[in-house]
Amino acid sequence: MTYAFFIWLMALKFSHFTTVILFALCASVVFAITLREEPREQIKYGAFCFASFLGATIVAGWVMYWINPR
Amino acid sequence: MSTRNDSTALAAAAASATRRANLIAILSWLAPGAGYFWLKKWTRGALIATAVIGMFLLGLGMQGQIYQFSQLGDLLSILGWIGDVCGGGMYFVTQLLGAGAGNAYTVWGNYGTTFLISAGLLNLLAATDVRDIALGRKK
Repeated sequence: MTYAFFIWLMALKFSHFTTVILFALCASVVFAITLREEPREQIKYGAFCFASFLGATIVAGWVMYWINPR
Repeated sequence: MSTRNDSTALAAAAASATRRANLIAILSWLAPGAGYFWLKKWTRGALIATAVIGMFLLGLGMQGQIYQFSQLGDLLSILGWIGDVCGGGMYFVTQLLGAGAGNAYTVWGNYGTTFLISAGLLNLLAATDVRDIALGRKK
């Protein structure tokens, strides 16, 4: 079981966008908990951070495409 | 006389509270989420532990590199090492197991290195938050 888990773990090859989603998810959870106090505020701030991560990534992707569209 | 005794007692209590908060922060640094559990913030602790440890494991899974102290050279590697050490217990366990050699020749390897450093920095952020909660500066 442990061996199978490590084999699975060592074979992780996500797409760029999936990687961004995973990064944004983890970072947003920590930002929300550490930077806001009330649960409702934390959920709102976490959602804002997550959307900002994804939005910034998509915008940056398009900017890079326009700079060098190959 | 009484006022002087009171202020001495208050200063001692403040020093004791600060010492306790520092210890909880160190515990939180060594084991992500543990500081929140100590303060009985169960949901926050579980979420922080899942996010930070999950991010670290994803980094290892993507063949990210853990910077070694003996390999430090340029500024970027020093900063990367500092980020990795912020991972606390995760960093030391990985070093003991000999994992985290990394693969810099793949895109995933570079992403993994970023995940490992980010997990450490998020862990540090959580540890400082735990200290603030223990000191009563935050709910």
